[in-house]
This record gives sequence, C-alpha cells and structure tokens, in this order.
Amino acid sequence: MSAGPSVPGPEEPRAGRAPGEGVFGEIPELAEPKPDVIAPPFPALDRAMGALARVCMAVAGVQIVALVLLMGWLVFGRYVLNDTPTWIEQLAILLIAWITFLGAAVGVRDESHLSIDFIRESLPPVPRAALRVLADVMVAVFCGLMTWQGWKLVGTNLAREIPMLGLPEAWRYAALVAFGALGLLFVALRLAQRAVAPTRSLPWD
Amino acid sequence: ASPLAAKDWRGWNIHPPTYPNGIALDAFAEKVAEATDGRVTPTVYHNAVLGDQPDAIEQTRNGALDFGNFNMGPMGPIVPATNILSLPFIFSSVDQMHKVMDGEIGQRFSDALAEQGLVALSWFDSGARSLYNTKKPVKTPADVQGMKVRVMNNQLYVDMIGALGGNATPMAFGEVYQSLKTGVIDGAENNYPSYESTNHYEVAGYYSITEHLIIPECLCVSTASWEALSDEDKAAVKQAAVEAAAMQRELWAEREKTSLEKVKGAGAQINEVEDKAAFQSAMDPVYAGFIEKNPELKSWIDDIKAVK
Amino acid sequence: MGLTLLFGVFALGLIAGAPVAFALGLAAVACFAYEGLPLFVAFQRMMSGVSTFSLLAIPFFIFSGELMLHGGIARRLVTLAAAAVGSVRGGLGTVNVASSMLFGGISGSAVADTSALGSILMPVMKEKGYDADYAVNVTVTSSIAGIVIPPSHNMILFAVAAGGGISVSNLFLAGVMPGILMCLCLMAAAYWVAVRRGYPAETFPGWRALALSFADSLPGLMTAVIIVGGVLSGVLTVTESGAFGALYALVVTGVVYRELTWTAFRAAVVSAVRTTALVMVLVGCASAFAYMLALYRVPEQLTDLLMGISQNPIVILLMLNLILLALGMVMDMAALILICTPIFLPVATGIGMDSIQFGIMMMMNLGLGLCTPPVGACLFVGCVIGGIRIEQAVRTIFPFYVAVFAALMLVTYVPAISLGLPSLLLE
Ligand code: NA
Ligand code: NA
Repeated sequence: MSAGPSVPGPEEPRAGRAPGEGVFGEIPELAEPKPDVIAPPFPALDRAMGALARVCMAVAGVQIVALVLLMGWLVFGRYVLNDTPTWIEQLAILLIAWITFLGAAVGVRDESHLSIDFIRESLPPVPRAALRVLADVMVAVFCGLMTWQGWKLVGTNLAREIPMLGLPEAWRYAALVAFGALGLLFVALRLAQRAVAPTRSLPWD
Repeated sequence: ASPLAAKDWRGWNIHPPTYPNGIALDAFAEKVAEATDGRVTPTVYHNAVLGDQPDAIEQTRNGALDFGNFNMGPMGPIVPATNILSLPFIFSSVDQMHKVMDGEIGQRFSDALAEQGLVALSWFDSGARSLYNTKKPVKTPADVQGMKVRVMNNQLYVDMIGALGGNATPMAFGEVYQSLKTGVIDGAENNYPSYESTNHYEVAGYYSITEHLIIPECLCVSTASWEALSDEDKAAVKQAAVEAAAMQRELWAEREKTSLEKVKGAGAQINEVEDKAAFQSAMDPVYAGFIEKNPELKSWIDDIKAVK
Repeated sequence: MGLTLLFGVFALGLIAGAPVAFALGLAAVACFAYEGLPLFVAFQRMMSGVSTFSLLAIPFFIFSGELMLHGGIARRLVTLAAAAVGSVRGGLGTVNVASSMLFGGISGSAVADTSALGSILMPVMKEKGYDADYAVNVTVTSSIAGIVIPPSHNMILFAVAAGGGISVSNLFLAGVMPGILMCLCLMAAAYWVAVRRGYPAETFPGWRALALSFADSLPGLMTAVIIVGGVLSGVLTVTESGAFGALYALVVTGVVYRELTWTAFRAAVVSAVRTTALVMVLVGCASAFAYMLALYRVPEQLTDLLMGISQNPIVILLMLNLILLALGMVMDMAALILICTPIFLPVATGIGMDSIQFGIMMMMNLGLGLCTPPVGACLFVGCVIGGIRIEQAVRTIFPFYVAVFAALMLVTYVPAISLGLPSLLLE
C-alpha cells in the first residue's frame, strides 16, 4: 500500500491500535500484509541506519519549528519595529530545502515516498522480487546522480552569494548532496538485505 | 545523434510572447534562420518555462541554452561588475543609458560578461523603474519615510529604500498585488508596462516618476554556441541582435505610452518629481558602501556619470 | 524518441513501484543525458522547484493540521457537528460530512481529515450500529472537503504549477462555495443511504449543549479565522498566515486545551516534516520533468490534439475531466497537479475557462481520485481505520461517487459557483 501524506510512520503508531487492526475488527491481510516477512538481515547495520534516519528527522524537525518562529519574527519586525528583517525570506527558503531533502532521505529509509506498488505486490514472488530490486536500483541510481551533480553544483556555487543572506549558494546545493549520500546509504543496505533472501519480504515492503 | 541538433538554438525569455521583448526575440530568431540559410534555427521559449532567470543564466553559461534576454539586475551575483547597473540613479535618463551601453563602457560590461561565458550582442530596454504606492504622491524623500515598499531581492535595493527612510520588504512577485490590496505593504517600484500588466495600478494608484533604477537587459549568447559559428554567421547573428534591440526599444517606448494611457484612464495619479537631486543625494551612503566593497569599480561609476 | 524515453522511464519506475518523485526525476535526467544537455540543470531545476517562496505556506498548513489532530481540536469539532446536525436521520453520516467541512476548512489535507475524523467518528458510528462500509464511504468521500475548502496546500501547489500568476487568496475564496456544494451533495447521499438501510437518528442534545460545545470548540475554530482572516484583512500574507495558524494551534492545543503532550508535539513535528518532504521533493522532481515537457512542447501538442477531436468547450471540458479522473485513479494528487497543470491549463484557458475555476475543478476531480481504487490514499487510510477490505468499501461507495461527480459537473459548467465569491468579496 502506498503511504499517503499524514499516515503515521513506523515509529508513531496511531493511539494504541496495531497496524491493520481496524475499529470494526481485525482484518487478516492488513494485520499481516505479507506472510513471507523475514527479520531484516544485518541487524546491527540496520539499527545504525535507523538511528541515522532519526538524527536526520530530529534536525529537520528543529528546522521546521525554527521556520514557524522566523515567520513570526518577520511579521513582528514589519509591524512593531517597522524594519522588516530582510534576511528571513531567503533563510526560510534555504531551510525549506534542507527540510525537504533531509525528510526525503528519511523517506527512502522508511519507504514512505508516494509510490504505486499495487501492480508489483500482486505478482508472484519471483517477478515481484525482481521489480523490488529494480525499484531500489532506480532509487540508488537517482541518489548517486544527485550526490555527484549536487557536489558539482556545490563547487560552482561557492562564490555566489544568496542575496540578502550573505551565505554562499553552495549551502543550498549541499542539501542535494546530503540527500543523495544518505539515500544511497539507506538503499544500499536494503539491496544487501534483499540479496540475503531474494524472494522474501522485508518488514516495510 | 541527438534530435536537438546543434543548430537548433534554444532561447530563454521571461516575458510572454506578446511583450516587446517576446516579439523582438521571435523576430531575432526568424532573422537568424534566414540570414544563416538555416544553419542556425533558434526557437524562443517564452514565459520562463525553462527556469527562472538565475537558473537560465547558469544554463546559458553552460551551453544547456544557447541564448537569452537577461535583465542585469539578477546578473550581479554572477558578474559582480553588473551590480553597478543596479545602483540607484546611476543613469540620468533612458537615453543616457542607451548612449553608455552602446558605447565603450557597454563594451566593458560585455567583456565582464564574456569572462563568465556570455556573449552580449545587444542591449534591450526595460525602461525606468519608479515608486508607486497606495497612500500619497511621493515628491520628496520624506514622503517615503516609514513606508513598507516591496523591492527585488538585492541588498542595493534594500539599502536604497532604507536610505530614504522606508521599510524595504523583499517579497515574491506573485504576492505583491494582494499585499498592496490588503495593506501588507504600502508600495512597490517598477516600470509603466509592469505597473500596468500586473494590475498593480488598480490597488496602488500613486505613481511617482522617480526613475531611480534604469536597468538594461542583454541579448546574450552562450560562448560555446557563439564559438561554434563561422565568422560569416557570427556577423549575421550579431546584426540580427542589433536589429532586434532597435525593434525592442521602439516597441518598448510604444508599450510605455499605451501602458501610461491605460493606467491614467483607470484613474492612477502620475506625478513628476521636481527635486530629483534630493533623492540622488540621499543615495550617497549607498554609493559609499558600494565603492568600499568594490573599489575597482569606482572609475566605472565616474565614467558613466561623465557621459552626457 | 526523447518523449518516448521521458514517459518510458517514468512508466518503468511506476510499474516497479519506485517512488513517483524519483521516477519523474530519473526520467528527466535520462532525457537530459539523451539530448546531450548538462545533467546539473536537472538537479538545479529540482532545487529551484523546492526553493519557491509561495510553497513555504505548505509546511505551515500541514503543521497546523497535525497539531490540531494531535492536540484535541479535531475531536471538539466532531462534538460540535454532532450537536448541530446529529438529529437528522442517519445523523452520524451527516455529522461526518459536517465535521469534514469544519476540520477540512482548517487542515487543508484530505488524508489528515480521513485519519483524524475517521479515528474519532468510526468507533462512534460502529457503536450506534452503522455498517463499516457506510462509515468508511462517508469518511473518505467527505474528506475531499479538506482540499476544496480553504486553506489547502494542494491549491498552493496548483498556483505554483500554473506558473505563479494566480492569486492564492482568490483560489482559496473560490473553493468555499464548491466545497459547501459538494458537502451538501454528500449529505444528501449519506441521508439517502441511511434511510434505505434504516439507520437511527441521534437525539438533539438541546440548545444549551450546542452552545457549550460551540464555546468549547471556538478556540480551535479560530485557527481557521486566523489563517483565512489574516489574509483577507491584509495583516498577513498567505505564507505568514500559515505560520500564524501553526503558532496559534500550538498555543490552543498546548495552553488552552492542554492536550498537546511532548509526545504528541513530537509526533506532529515528525508528520509535518515527513509530509512536507514528500510533497516538496515531488515538486522538485516535477520541475525537472516539466522542463522536458516544455522543451518537447508537449502542452502545445496536446492542445492541438484535443482541439482536433472537438472544438466544443462542453466536450473538451468533459474530456479533461475524464482524463483527470482516469489519471487520479492510478496516481496520487500532488504529482498529478504538478504534471497536469502545465499541460491542461492552457487547453482550458484556450476555450475561455478561468484559471481559478479550472483549479477548483481540478482539486475536486483529483480529490475524487484519492477515494478510488487502485491508488487512493484516503480510501486506503479509511479502510485501515475502519477495518474493512478495499473491495468491501468500494462495493457500496457508488452513491457517494455520484454525489461528488454531480458537484464536479456543476463546478465545471457553472463558473459562478467558484468565481462568484472572490469577485463579490474582492471587487
Ligand atoms: Na482545507
Ligand atoms: Na468526514
């Protein structure tokens, strides 16, 4: 099932109800979506990646709260001080880039990005496994390209300043590199985990 | 074998195809195809569908695009010398700007652009930007005192409003109309055609002819695309660009007139600013700060001011 | 050939179940490579797509919605709606729709609406003897109100995808009447089904109880007043009003209602980051994709194609609706707004439709897509919370589809429904 926006992620199940347990009674295929689930191989690495994803989420969380407070300060400056803090708009846009790409990296780890997987998941185990690998490889290629080209953009934007902020534009593009590298780490581990038992499902499939 | 062959030039334009710039660029494309016997066939992508201006400049420098019509305002972060053109009251009039840019000083700007991979073939007009607001006619700098004025994202414009005692508020262009209407901001600044086409005159009826910013635009070709041309084709393209600029300036002047008539007809109050010198002298700290940061550009400023 | 590559890579990614955003991005990058264009441009477009000031409001609306969901505002709105309209036959169905009008008018997200109101209302409906499929059907279809009634982050996405020339405040205003109209149609459907199934009516709790629950939910309702009123009064821009909505929701849920625990606050922050990131990364990748659509002149070609089939505006609008409905069945909303707006909007304006009316039509149309199989986030979430299989829900959902579709047709062919309010209030 494709996770839509606002669906609680793995670390915050909605108030005391197990996944798949509905208010009208339990439904087998939602409670245990895949009968062939294995525990994630390489548990130590898996825990490490989980911790890394939580760090990313914490940083992005602080940034989103900062964003709300900054907008409050902007309005205070415009009306009360009659001196608009002109750096806030650009800083806010820089922050949103970091929130987006850090959050998107966490999304790679959680598999919470919007996707259409009803076709794949209704296939027999072997083609299903092949498509899962293909999807992961596409994510890996995308993240790899992002890291490489993002790094290039960081290099070419070291001297260019973000107007009103005085920071190099490179700070913006660094978010692409962070996303690419983190996403690559997360998806590489998943591909390795898949290789251990190719036709079985991982818990988050 | 790419289907977009090298001779198929792609060009960038922020304006709609019916704007003076769009018409002139389409004429440029047609002229180039004709004069090079189809060895170069340009297509103009209007309405900024290939990205905003900073991105399009990067793309042109790197050969993803072949040419574009760029305003010198957002060029500053890439070609620092062009920041001079964003200094308030750097030109005394649009005619003087034409004289400067078509002459030796314009060539200096072309050379600075060339160092960054852009060949400036001719200079377009974007008129003179003046202040407009929702409150009253601006006649002296004191009238700007305490006014919340939207400016483009550039420290020089912020400093300019600050030097007049106003509250400079950078804001996305798309939010300006609503913000003027509801009073989030009191004013903004732009040329007649923008003042009219954005309908800002409906909500901010006082337009004061301060003409504080006169920023030229270039018709620039990417160095890579330029160097791939034969000398004969270079001459043809250059000629087409110069003709396009003449056409654009003429269409621009006409457009300014029709825009002015339209906003006047709609009840906007246009006022002359008698004592422009007061505004100019208020800019002294802006110039001082600029020269302190860019001492090597002081002579450029002096040379521009010397052109009558 | 380039166009085949663009859509081929995209389709391959979709079939493999890769994230829609990355499938879009990878398809664009493949075309950049194929055309011999520098690859960095694709990634520069992704960054520029995200770095747009108008989009800043999105995390704020999402954050406000999450705070209300975790901090007790949503529950009070349900109580208020129950007190007000619960005495109608099959009352809880009507309550469900009315709650969505109130809550959707604040949260701006259909899925948040489904999960918030579904979690609160479905257990109550079950207790009172309503069938699970009915509860799920009403909950998911009425959650479309979250998109159509302002504020709505999907409308901001539309305004951005349309090229930035559309006023978000006008769009917001334009959504009010269509949202109410759609909810009225859904109430009619809910009533009709309830009567046929013999569901009971609630007893009216009395004016005093109604007044009390109104007073109790008033601080929460004020969030909507702050967000929409901030913009209309001219104190705040859309973006700032979003931020103030979040700040205000924080105060109400934390200080007034005292229901926002540290855990709930963290959950709201995490959900806000996740949703923001998923939507915004789609925006970024879609801009790289849109670069290629523009380069290959897809909008112009499609316009010619559709105009070739028929010149009749009524037929063209019907075709646009059917195409959007079909796409909405298999893809999620945000991606479709970003991909389809630049392609379809010129067609609609070409036959004289106002861009704002088109936007509202698109919101409602794609909202319906969220409630249809095989891909429909609201339907999925509703079924999970309701604890029924998707087939069970879909078997009886038809009357509700008809209700939304009827409203959609009215909005499509009667401009005044969407454009009346903005022209009344803003002229
Ligand atoms: Na809403
Ligand atoms: Na509902």
